[in-house]
Amino acid sequence: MESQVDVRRARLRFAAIFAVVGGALLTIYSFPYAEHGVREDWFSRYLAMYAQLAGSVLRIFDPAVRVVGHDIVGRTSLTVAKNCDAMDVCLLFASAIVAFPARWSRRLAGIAVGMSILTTINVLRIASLYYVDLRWPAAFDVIHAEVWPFALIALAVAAFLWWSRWAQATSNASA
Amino acid sequence: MGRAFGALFSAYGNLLVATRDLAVDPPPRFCVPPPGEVSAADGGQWAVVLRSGARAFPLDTRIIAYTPLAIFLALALSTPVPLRRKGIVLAGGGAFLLARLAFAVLVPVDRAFGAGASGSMLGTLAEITWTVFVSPPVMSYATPLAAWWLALALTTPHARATTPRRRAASRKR
Repeated sequence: MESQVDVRRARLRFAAIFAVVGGALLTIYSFPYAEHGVREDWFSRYLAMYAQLAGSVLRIFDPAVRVVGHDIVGRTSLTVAKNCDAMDVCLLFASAIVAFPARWSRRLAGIAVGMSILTTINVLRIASLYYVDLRWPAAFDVIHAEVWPFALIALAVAAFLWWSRWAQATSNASA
Repeated sequence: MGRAFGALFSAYGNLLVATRDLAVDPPPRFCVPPPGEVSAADGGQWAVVLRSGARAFPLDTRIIAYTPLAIFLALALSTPVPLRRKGIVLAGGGAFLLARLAFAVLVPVDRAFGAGASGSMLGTLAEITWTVFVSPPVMSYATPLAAWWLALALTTPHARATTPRRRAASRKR
């Protein structure tokens, strides 16, 4: 039977690995790259691709929408900037999965499925912000900076809890 | 509510700024602006202003300070643990969040007024840490969650290990 001391040690180990992996991944993502460098060029293309993805969803409802670089232009306009890709949430989610004691196959499955879900929700978030800016511009800042970040973190935590239960249950079943 | 929190934030911010050796006269001070001075886009009633002579920088306190503290308080107060442990969680997590807030305030203040280690390797490290852990809005939600969980993990009560051998021995008795 696992003692409380073991539980505490396991939790601290999880917290330490989560902090180190999460910190490293977020630093790589957020590091201020040199302007006009190769990495900035790559990152700019990646954000443009993200804008295309959100724009293609918006075109279903509003055929007037077009994408120019990082900008989604239609009846209103949005710019997809760094952090608009929810990569910080995805990296925190992936770090929590890496820190959790489970087989690598289950970890990789969790990261792939979880990040796909978070990315899909984030594309819908960008699409929703276009309509919020169009219909309720006064509410844009609150929904952009408060409601959606909270919802994304809550979703990532829920996805991690679901995955950790699944990983433990399948591990117990195969033992 | 925003103005009352702004007054508390200003008091804390002025304590922090007083610890810095800033090469500006008059020294910068946080204050709550008169109603309507700061636009809603810059924080509205949740804004404080950092003034130094004719220079004034508005700062929205809601996302950077109020949200993390409110989320942490809500989580800590609603966790069903004994009162003593709850107190330790509140004190430890609260201290961590106030330290993060100090860092969140002082890095831009040093940057604006050219104090401390700005420009040095330590300053660069502080800037990167600030960019990674403070500036993204999701960190205002992830940090209190992590502080709450870590405080609970660290205060898990010690218990004597209940090994099968010990249980078997106690059954024999």
